[in-house]
Amino acid sequence: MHTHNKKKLTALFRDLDLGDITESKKLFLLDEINALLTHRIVTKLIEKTTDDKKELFIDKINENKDDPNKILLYIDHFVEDADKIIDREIATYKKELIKTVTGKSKGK
Amino acid sequence: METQIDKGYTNGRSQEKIQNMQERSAHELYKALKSQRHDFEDHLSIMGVGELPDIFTIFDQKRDVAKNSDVVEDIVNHEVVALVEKTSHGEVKDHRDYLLDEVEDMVDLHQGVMHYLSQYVHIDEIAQKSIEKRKLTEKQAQHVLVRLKETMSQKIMSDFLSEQKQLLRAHGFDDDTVSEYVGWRLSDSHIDNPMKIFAEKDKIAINATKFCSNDAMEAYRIHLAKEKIYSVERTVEAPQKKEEEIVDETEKSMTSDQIDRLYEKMLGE
Repeated sequence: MHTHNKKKLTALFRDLDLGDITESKKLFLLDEINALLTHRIVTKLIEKTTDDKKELFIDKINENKDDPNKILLYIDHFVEDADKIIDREIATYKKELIKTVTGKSKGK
Repeated sequence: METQIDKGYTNGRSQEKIQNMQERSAHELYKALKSQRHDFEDHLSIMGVGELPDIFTIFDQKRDVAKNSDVVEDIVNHEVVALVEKTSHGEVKDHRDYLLDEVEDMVDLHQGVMHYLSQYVHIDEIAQKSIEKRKLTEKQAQHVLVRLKETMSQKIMSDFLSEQKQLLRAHGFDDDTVSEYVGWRLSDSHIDNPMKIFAEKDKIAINATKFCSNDAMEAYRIHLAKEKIYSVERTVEAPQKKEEEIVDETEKSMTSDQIDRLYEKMLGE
């Protein structure tokens, strides 16, 4: 289980209308939220990589499974405007999450 | 009348209800997330990506950290160097394009070539002045002009290629990679090059439209069409003895005096 920013955690679960579930369940759920987000982000980034670099980018992701920091470096290296793509994906994902749980759109 | 205990009990019950409701929602959400994650895993697996670590959390934690910190740079440089080393031993040949892009960032490939070309595009003018000064016959003038252009072209190509090779070897590339890179560098497809030098089978041409006059360009185009086509191998690897002597003469920037001396040599043949 990772260390999470307490304020962010609280804000996220409040936005999801799940502020009252137990802390352990929050963390358990958060791991799943992060895992899906990671998969969505990586999928999006690979799609945005130019064809000539795609294969090498995938190799670098696979080679550095134990070192996510390096993967982040390669993301910056291979994908133009990676930060913007990631930020957009996070915002979209958050909206979708809120909609899934509450049935309505809110949040950023 | 509702007592404090009743209120507390009611509040407790409603709080419990809310919590139960939220936990059911959380459970539903968890199942939905898990199912979606499996879909993405399948999709990524088709693309060749295996299991992923939690990149997002780390990304989130690092967002406030300046991206170009020395530490980050060190890691990137270390990785690039490691890749270059691997490639020089032929272990990850498929990654060559990426590595060459890295080298592109490290070296300025244009400056030297532009200098050589700036000499070449004036060769007509310089040669014409020299011919007039020497009152050569038309036949002699033609011969000298052709040889001058040939010598200058060879020097440009030779210097250009040897500069490229030297730089690439200095960055740990093997000979095959260097040859391939030079071929690519000389290819027409390299459109970013402000001056395109392109090789096709045994032909080499220089397209310098962006920084020489139309007249000079036209003169050179006519010259190429009429006269000389140089092979990469000949200009770089094995010049003839006489050409070597001439190239020696042109090792430094050529002034009109130097060209005059070159004339003497050629006319003396």
